[in-house]
Amino acid sequence: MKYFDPHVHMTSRTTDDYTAMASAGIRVIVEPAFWLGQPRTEVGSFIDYFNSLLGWERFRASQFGIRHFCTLGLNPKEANNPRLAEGVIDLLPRYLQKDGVVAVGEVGFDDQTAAEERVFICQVELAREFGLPVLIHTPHRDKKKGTLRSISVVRDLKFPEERVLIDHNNEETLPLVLDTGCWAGHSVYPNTKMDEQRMAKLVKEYGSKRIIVNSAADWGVSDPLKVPKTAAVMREAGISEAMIEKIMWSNPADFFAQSDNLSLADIDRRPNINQTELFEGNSVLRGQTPVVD
Amino acid sequence: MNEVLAAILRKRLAPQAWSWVEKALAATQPPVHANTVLGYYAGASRRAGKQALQLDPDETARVRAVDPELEIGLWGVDEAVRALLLLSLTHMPADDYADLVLRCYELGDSREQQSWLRALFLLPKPERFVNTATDACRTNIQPLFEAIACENPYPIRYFPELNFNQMVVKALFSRIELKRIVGLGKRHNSELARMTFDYQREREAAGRSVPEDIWLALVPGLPVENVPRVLTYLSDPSPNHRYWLAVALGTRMDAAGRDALEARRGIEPDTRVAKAIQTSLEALNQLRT
Ligand SMILES: [Zn+2]
Repeated sequence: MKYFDPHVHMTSRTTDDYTAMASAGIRVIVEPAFWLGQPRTEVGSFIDYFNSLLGWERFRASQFGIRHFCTLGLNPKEANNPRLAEGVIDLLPRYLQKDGVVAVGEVGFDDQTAAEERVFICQVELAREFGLPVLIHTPHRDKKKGTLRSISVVRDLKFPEERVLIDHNNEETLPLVLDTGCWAGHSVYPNTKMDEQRMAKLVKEYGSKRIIVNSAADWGVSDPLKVPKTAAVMREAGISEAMIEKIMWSNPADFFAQSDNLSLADIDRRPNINQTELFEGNSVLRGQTPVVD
Repeated sequence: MNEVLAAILRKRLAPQAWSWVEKALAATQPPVHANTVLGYYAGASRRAGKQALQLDPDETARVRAVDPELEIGLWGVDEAVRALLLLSLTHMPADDYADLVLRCYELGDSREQQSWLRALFLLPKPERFVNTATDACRTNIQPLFEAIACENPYPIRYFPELNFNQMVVKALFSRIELKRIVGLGKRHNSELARMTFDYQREREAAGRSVPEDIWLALVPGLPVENVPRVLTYLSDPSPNHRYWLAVALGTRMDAAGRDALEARRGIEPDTRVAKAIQTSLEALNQLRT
């Protein structure tokens, strides 16, 4: 089966990860712009980060036969730095028009401060202006309230709910999201967030409509194979192939296709691998024999 | 505080290291060259070492005399040197001082930032640095988070409620013992109770364990109708759950937990827990009279 991981931070991962992901059947990924672990102190750091998501990382993925898309935005943690926030919001209109940007995100709440809310609202407005869906990060701490507040931001702005993906849900927040028209993401991430067994249980209880699963793999202890691994657990739990394919492929594809920047016909074809290609003179290979399909 | 720190450091540093500190202190006197000071601030770990201060009783008494909530025994020698440097610059004009102090943080590696956070509440007008301190709580580097959250009186005195509550809940997520948060008992509030009560139910819904000391943050401000929802943990197999819940119930301003504590008193097998139950019951009975 082919898989779509709609939330994975590949800039923190190695080429071994790409190899393993490709051989596990992962064909399309979306990399949301997020926090790098170390707080940035200059707007210029965001320019370079956005450029690397659009450039080098997409190229790196393509070398393993994986299509790479991204979402761009200012994450809630760094929204608390007023100087950065203003500068990044100014940059976004230029970047949101670029090829391969399939949503504004990750935006939302972390500590649930007033500054976070301002920057969140501003970016939902940008999404409307540039015709993009929105990917919303929900906080680890005080998650239920953060989820409810995110939903009311979307509703107050009358942003179309079917163009909103609310991520990192758990047992407490999923029913709240399904009560709206928004899509519900689940991050299968070791120790925190969701795990495979709980995910299978949720699907048995709530079905597959507007349900999305991702690995959210990043620089923490995480696993970029969680999408195929969760599919395997679902299969064992007796969930039908059709339902699994809907959750692990069609749902994320349909959601991000609303951006007009990802074509369903396109992603159905596996891109040809040509590792002899260079990106601005660089290859991901360091002395190995290139693979050519 | 300067003399107290200097005396503590002189006792612990080899002559060579101490003379380096003296040179650094001389550089804090006018005319101050910011880059020179920043260099000394950065160099403290390599020159003075990072071993913990571990005060003797006499030194502890002298530190406590400066502020009863001040706890520096776990500071590294380098951190004490950095605190002394910041405290020796206070003669500077207020704005220049604030600029230089902030640059020490912004240009610092995580150890320098950690030292800065620990010394923060000793500085003049420490409230002007509150945005940097709350921002530091967003780190994923645990020692850095602990430097502001633990054994540090700054948050209880200067954090707005929202940031204080977020810090407490983050400590729970990071498995940091809540008793390390200075003054938590004085700062409990209904919003913190709601956040931690939601967290208890979220963990239960996910089939995961609840942190054993969550009760310290959850119970004092919990609405009385929700108290029965936590009392089951008085018979939890883990004595730590029973202990912290018994302690926390004793801090409530009503006696909502008294009957449950009474009932548990007769059958509690663990002596530490039994003692906590006894102490809490005494406090609650005091409330009645
Ligand atoms: Zn993420």
